[in-house]
Amino acid sequence: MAELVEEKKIGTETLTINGKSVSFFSGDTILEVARRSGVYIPTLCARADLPSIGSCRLCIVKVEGMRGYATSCTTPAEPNMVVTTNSPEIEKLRRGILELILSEHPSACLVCPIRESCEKFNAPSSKTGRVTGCNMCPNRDICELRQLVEYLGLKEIRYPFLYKDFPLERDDPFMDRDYNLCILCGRCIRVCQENLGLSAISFIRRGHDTKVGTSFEKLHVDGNCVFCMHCVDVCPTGALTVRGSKWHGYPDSETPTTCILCERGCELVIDTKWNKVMGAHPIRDMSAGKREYCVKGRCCLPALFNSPDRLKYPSTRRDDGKMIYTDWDNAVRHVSEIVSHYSPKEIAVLSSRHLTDESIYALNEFARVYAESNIFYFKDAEIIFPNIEKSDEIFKDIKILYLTEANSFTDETIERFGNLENIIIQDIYPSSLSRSDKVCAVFPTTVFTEMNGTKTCADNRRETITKAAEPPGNAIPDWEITIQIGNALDSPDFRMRDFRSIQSNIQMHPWIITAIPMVPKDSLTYRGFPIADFVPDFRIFVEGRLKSKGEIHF
Amino acid sequence: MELTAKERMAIERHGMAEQPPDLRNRNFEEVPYGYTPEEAVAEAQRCLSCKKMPCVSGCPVEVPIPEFIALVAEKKFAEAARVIKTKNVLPAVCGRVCPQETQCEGVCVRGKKDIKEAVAVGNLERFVADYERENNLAEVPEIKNKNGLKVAVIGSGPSGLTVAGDLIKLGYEVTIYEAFHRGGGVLVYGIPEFRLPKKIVESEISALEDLGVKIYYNSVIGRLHKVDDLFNVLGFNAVYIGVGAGLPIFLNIPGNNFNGVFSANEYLTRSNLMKSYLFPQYRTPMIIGKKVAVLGGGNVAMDSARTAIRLGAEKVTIVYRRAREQMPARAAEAHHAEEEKIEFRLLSSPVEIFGNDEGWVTGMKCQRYELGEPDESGRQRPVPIEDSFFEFDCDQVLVSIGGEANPLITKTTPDMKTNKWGYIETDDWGRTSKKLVYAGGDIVTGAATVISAMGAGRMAAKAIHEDLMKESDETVTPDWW
Amino acid sequence: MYELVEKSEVFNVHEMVIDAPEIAHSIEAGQFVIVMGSENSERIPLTVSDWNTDTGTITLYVLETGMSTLELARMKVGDSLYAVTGPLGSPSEIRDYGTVVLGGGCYGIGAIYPIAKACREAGNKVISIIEARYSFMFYHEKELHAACDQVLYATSDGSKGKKGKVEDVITEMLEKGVKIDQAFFIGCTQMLERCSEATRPYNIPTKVALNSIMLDGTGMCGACRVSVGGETKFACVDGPEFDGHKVDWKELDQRKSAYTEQETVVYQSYSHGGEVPKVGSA
Repeated sequence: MAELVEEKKIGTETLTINGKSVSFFSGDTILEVARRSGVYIPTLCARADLPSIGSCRLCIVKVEGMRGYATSCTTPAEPNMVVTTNSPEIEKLRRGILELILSEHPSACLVCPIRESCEKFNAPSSKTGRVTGCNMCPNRDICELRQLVEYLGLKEIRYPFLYKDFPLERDDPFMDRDYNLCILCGRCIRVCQENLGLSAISFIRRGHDTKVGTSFEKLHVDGNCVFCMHCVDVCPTGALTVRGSKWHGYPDSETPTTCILCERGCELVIDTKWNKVMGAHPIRDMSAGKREYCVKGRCCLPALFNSPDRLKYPSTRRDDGKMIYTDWDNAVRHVSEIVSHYSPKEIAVLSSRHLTDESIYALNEFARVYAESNIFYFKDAEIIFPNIEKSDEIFKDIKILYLTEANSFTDETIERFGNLENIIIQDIYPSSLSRSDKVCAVFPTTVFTEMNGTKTCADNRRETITKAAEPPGNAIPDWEITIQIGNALDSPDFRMRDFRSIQSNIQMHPWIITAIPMVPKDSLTYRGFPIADFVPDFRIFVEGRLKSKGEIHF
Repeated sequence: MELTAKERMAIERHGMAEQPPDLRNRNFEEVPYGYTPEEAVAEAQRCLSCKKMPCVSGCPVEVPIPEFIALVAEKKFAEAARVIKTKNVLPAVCGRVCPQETQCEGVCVRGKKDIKEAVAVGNLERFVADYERENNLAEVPEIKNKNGLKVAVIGSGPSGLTVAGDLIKLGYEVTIYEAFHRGGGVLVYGIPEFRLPKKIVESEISALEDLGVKIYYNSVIGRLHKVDDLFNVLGFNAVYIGVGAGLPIFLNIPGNNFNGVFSANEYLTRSNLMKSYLFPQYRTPMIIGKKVAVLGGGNVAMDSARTAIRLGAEKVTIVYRRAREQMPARAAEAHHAEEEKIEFRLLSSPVEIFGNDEGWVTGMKCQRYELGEPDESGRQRPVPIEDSFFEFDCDQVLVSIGGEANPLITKTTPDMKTNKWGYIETDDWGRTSKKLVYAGGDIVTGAATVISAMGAGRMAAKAIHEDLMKESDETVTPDWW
Repeated sequence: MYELVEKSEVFNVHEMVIDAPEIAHSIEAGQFVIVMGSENSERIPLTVSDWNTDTGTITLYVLETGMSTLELARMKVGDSLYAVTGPLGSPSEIRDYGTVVLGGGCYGIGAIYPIAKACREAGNKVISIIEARYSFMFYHEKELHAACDQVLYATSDGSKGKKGKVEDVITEMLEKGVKIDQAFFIGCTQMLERCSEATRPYNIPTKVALNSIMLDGTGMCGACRVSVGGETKFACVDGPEFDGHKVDWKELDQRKSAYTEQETVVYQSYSHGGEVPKVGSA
């Protein structure tokens, strides 16, 4: 696992590590100084982004003048200290420590002579319930224990193995726990207590029975846990896993992007395999960051985006009233033909608040040129036209709607548009509205993991969105569809030609983006679709939180 | 008002409205919508009620076709359905899957010049059966008093259902043993939803259950019970074997076992019976090829190709050894396939399937064929052209070149004769060489049609009744004794 | 029907005792059943490890190794399985061989038991060798001891019997000159291959029970085809037992991993609450 890379700073004091003089600031631990100067010291319980407790003792070093060995993660650096991080003797001690740790962790596979062929055979690892060896462990490809075994060249574990025989804990939403793999390093507890201040978990029981758990051993969903999964991110073993994305092994690619499920715009790494989103997690070095990720971005994306129900091909309504699949050229021609029959005041455009900046800008440009700037959005099921003061009058003028969030419409809201003749839907899933006989076209579009772009988030941060997976079928990004229709309608006033022309315009007119407000943190939907409809565990999470806390905090 | 023959001749054949190809090739809903009552009446009026009734003899189960069509013309749809049901217990199925162009419609007087002018018997049959079912007009048939005799039917496909339906009405206690977890045999695992909606099969089966037919699912005869056990242990008086052919053939060429090479049976069973097109809601996975080659030219090949395109394949090609005219598929199916942009690579056959290091299909090496002398079936024999090899790019191969006899039952019933291909030998009435064991359908004839299997079932039911009535004097003790 | 009457877990191997009297009456050693947990499930083959004609039950040892077995593992006593079809496959060929060695790992520890019993009844000297990572992962031991002349162990950590695998025990026996007339192996593909390679130099007749992907289990679909001695065989009807020295292991391995992607993706929408997101609503 990569360590936190900090800038090399010139400290005010100096000490000697492995014969080299190194500067440091007072208050640094030996481990911190060593890391900064590029000296590797093996650790299990210590992480640069967590307070140290010195429990695993793997980071022991020899300090001249000190009796025995010091745990470098907790020993403060002092001026003129002479530190040795590595020697045959230290290695031997560390091997002994690791052997003891592994005697309570199912690790027969680690030293098995046929491990290599077995793991090749079980690649990715077999999807087991109870893990009794590496070839069935979901964490195998990123296991820190294995890395240490290799680093220390451990060939044999001399102690008899003691299996703790805790029951599997898999009754919580999203999270599977097998504390038989736990080495009691306490990282999960520290990230939860110290970094996030949640204290959902702590050490419970005594002696050999000691384990991590909630108070009264309740389900996590009934306690303080918010399912940010930082405990999973810092766990060096496979004890804690996210159920929906634990079996794909090492991903084909990891793409940093921004989660735009809400205004927070968290930085997120998307694991991709088989061209699909397999999981999402914080940048590995930052996994113990001081704010918790929410369960929506951390756990819901694969099921939400990989549903086989995603719209895949554009479809248009034929003269005989039947909806048919078609290609993009025909679909765009068909729709622009229909739109051209209407005067701008008869057209209105719905912008989903989940759209990227480019898509919002393109829609706004479309509305400006072809729809008298009749662009609106939904807020708490209410329709809001930000550019128009008295929006009530507009409803009877509108004859055609161009919607990017069809599922937010109820029968009543659609009835408010009394003279409606046509609906164009541009969406990710079919909705009840897409069966309406007023719909003249349905365009499949991409979710944010399938496109490049930017999104303006809270505090006016403009975050980057990077494509991590392939869209289903022939789906293309919203902005692309919008400018295709815009250009097909052929007004010289419509100036958006490509991604770049949109981007340069956004920079000139940022207020156009902010006219469509951001999605609040507590949103339970994506583009009008309840996340729980696609992610059953999310329903359990929401219901559990409402029951135990009366509110949901993301 | 009675129409004159001339007026009848003047009416043009009515096609059924259909889902347009570019819509239906992405969904699994049925392709034709069926007649409206008006269309049905108009089509029925095209029948000349000729004296010869060639259609009746053209039908393997001799449905009184002119009689039911005349009732349709009089808008007596439910009565028409009842007339069909005297001969055919599954009209909603047969109206959809029978090769009418080689049966009733093939010999229709009106189709003499052009087969496309024949009275649309199949469409009408389908219409009345659907009308009866959708309006709950089915009459519970008269059931004779129980005669105390038990018959076991192995397999719940078309022939088994026919035997069960006939015998239950005659007063027998009928038990069907079905290997799968759902009844209907090839009607549920083989024929896709878009050609035969499963709810039709389900309603036919539940109608039989209402009549008292018992169905044991998950019961593989030959393993769970041997045929002899059905008599000796379970006390059946007769056994009917209607298990279908049930053993797929693969081409004897290298590369057969690469991932992505499927028997049509497997591919269709995954999609139809296991509903893998609804994965992951249904847990059976399916491999969705981009470029799919379907080997064969029969109905099953068409079904496989049309399933592949619906599952999301970019390009589906039927690779067939002979020419289009020799294709055994129902004309409507080949036509539908073509409409759905399935390509035909005729007079070609693979000689090798290529794969990559991970064991997945990457393509085929094919050879061109030309038509030579007619063979014993009368079809021109395809002859390979020397040095005419070409490579064919594909990532999935669906092998649909027919089947063989599944030996599960015949192996465990050694005293029942089979022919050299392993099919069960029977007389014209379905009697096997083993006493009171009968057989019919594909396990006797090899791959054939739904209706011919039903015809065989009908004959066997008669034979069972005749034989058991003869025997019963000696074997059945009357209740009052 | 198919009610789960007993259930317990030994380290990821779930013992499931299922009410299926007809199967219990007709099954023979070496046969398997095809199981569906619920109406939406896959059909998966599972070896029957024991049966009782008095209670009308069959015993399966189910190794949780994917979604279908996870759903079985989460079932509780009193629940009913949607479908149990069987017995399927050809029974083991049991005759008086002389000395028979049975090797089992994972679910194979349970699966060799009926073969051991049948071989013993046919007059053989029966030696079972079972492997696990740790001593505490063995199960069904008492029954196995009762059915065998000798039970040998192999563990990865050496905590019971020989440190190593079944093939290490066999190799040791063969090197010592123990006469083995017939070997049967049941376990994961890799173990079967290793064990077959161990008996090959000594020309010991070796049967391995292959567990390829199946659908109907009656020879109808060909999903389970395997190459044995250059010929394509259907594991469901021609097998499951084949000559271990003739199996094309690489092909079997590749065919078994054909659905890795789907088998992984299916976890994304899985919920322990049992709710399955509806598909095909449009």
